Amino acid sequence: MVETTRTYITMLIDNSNIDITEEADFVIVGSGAAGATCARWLAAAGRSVIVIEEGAPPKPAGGDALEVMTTLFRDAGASATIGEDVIPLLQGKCVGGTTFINGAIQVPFPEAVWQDWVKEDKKWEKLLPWNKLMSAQERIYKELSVAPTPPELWGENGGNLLKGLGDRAHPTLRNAPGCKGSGRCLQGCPNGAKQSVDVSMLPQAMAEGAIIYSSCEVKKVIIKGSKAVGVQGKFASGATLIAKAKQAVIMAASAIQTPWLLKKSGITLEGNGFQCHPGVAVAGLFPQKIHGMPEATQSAESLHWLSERIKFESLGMPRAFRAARVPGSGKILQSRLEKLDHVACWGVAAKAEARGKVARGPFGPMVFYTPTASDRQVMLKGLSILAEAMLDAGATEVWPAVYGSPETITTAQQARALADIAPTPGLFPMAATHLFCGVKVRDKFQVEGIDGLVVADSSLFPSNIGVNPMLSIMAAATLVAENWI
Amino acid sequence: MQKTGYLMLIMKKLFESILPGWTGYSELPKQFPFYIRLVLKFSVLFLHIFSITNYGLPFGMISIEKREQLITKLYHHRVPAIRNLVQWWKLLALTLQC
Repeated sequence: MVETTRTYITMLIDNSNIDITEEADFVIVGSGAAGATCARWLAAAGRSVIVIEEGAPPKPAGGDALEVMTTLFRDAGASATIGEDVIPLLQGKCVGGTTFINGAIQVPFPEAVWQDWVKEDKKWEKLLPWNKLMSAQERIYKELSVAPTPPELWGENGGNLLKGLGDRAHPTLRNAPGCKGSGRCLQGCPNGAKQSVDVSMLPQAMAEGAIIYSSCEVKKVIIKGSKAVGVQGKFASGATLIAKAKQAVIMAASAIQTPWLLKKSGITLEGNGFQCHPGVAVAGLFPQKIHGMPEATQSAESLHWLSERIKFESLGMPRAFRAARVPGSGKILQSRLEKLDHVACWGVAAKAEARGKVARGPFGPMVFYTPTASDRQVMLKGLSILAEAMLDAGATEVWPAVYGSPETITTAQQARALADIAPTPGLFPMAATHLFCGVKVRDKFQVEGIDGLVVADSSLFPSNIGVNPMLSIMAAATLVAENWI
Repeated sequence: MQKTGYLMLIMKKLFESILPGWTGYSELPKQFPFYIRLVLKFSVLFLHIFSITNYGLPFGMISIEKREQLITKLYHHRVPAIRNLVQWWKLLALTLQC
């Protein structure tokens, strides 16, 4: 008897200069956490899969912040929300999406959030049953080799957060086995240790026959009657791609690009408005050197205040971003920057209740979003807790960068007073990282009114989940794929 | 001199006022979306308005000390939009620093 083996062709086609028309069971828009997960499981089940990614295959950037921004971030990190506060929107644009440039933190799906969703709408019990979600999460844990940050990689920045918050903080769970502590997750791991989906799920999907087209922007979802039948894309070279879907088009382009692309394709969307985690950071000056030794980019976090909508993380960032956290301008800023290696930086991610809107703008999606006074209050409370913890950990001075507070804080009393500042707009510089909501889905995660148009990314979530969402997105995307196998 | 060249010159003076000794790129990176580059370049025109209001001269014609004082004043301005703008300039100055 002749033993047969399946042979596979690994295919990633970057920036084709010839027009392509291709057909597959599933066409997936976006190659980040959700897209790669769907591709992995659908291809493993023997379905033909095309993944289309707007960015190029990534290479780790150098230490230079500008290089990082211009090569790996969407719009070079220069786009922002429109509202009472201007909040930069940070999204990866490369094969692997934001998983290539995130801090590698993995947080389990919070059960309290799931219960809220079910209380609001019973359909979530059927779409994302808790036991199935948890078993999907377990699979992802294994796929990405998720493990707690080992003590030798806690470093001074994260180590002091653990010291300052005591048993209310813990080392982060990360998908970076073999991490050498270069502290450069946000630039793309230089050692290939971080299991972003470009080195985990996507190669496995390709080994099972999935084809990836990169540097190709999807311009439109093609709808015939009330069914999605494919997408139309354009490579950076100008060549076109028509990808026809026999079963479904799966949208996994993020909570900004997915709603925008659907609206651009003439689809009227129902769903809860855009949400995100506005993040704000506090910097503190320590007597000892904080940077320069091996440390995981984000080695410590606290989930202790999740019920109060607050999450804390240590932040390892490129030098320029860290410098931006140092308050002041002119000579004062210059003198403070001389001690930048002694400056620790910790962040507050707020489970903001504010809802915004993704609209069609003349140059791309426009995100209208303003945190509520309650969201700002949550961030102020978070800053107050972190400032006090920083002093407890040994900081000689803390720079909260909050309008209306002293520029330099040296006592616990001053730190506590941060929580009492009136939560007016423009209080502190923020950044938006984790993005959610925007599309209402029905059975098999399909968009209302259109058959075969599936949403797999965090735009299907009805609310902000309050924690780093990579693991939750991948667990949900696993269930999306299972619905179509 | 082209209009954009002039605006970049003012922007360079702005960055030097935020971070004394700033040396950086002579143009905004092409990877920044077109509209962002446009908004950034024209945002420095506000500096002239503030400078003329405070010192009677355009931003490029006042001394470096006065420029630093003006930026510090705007950094702590009571209007959130102005503080946001200065934060944006500051982030850009630090990112574009060579």
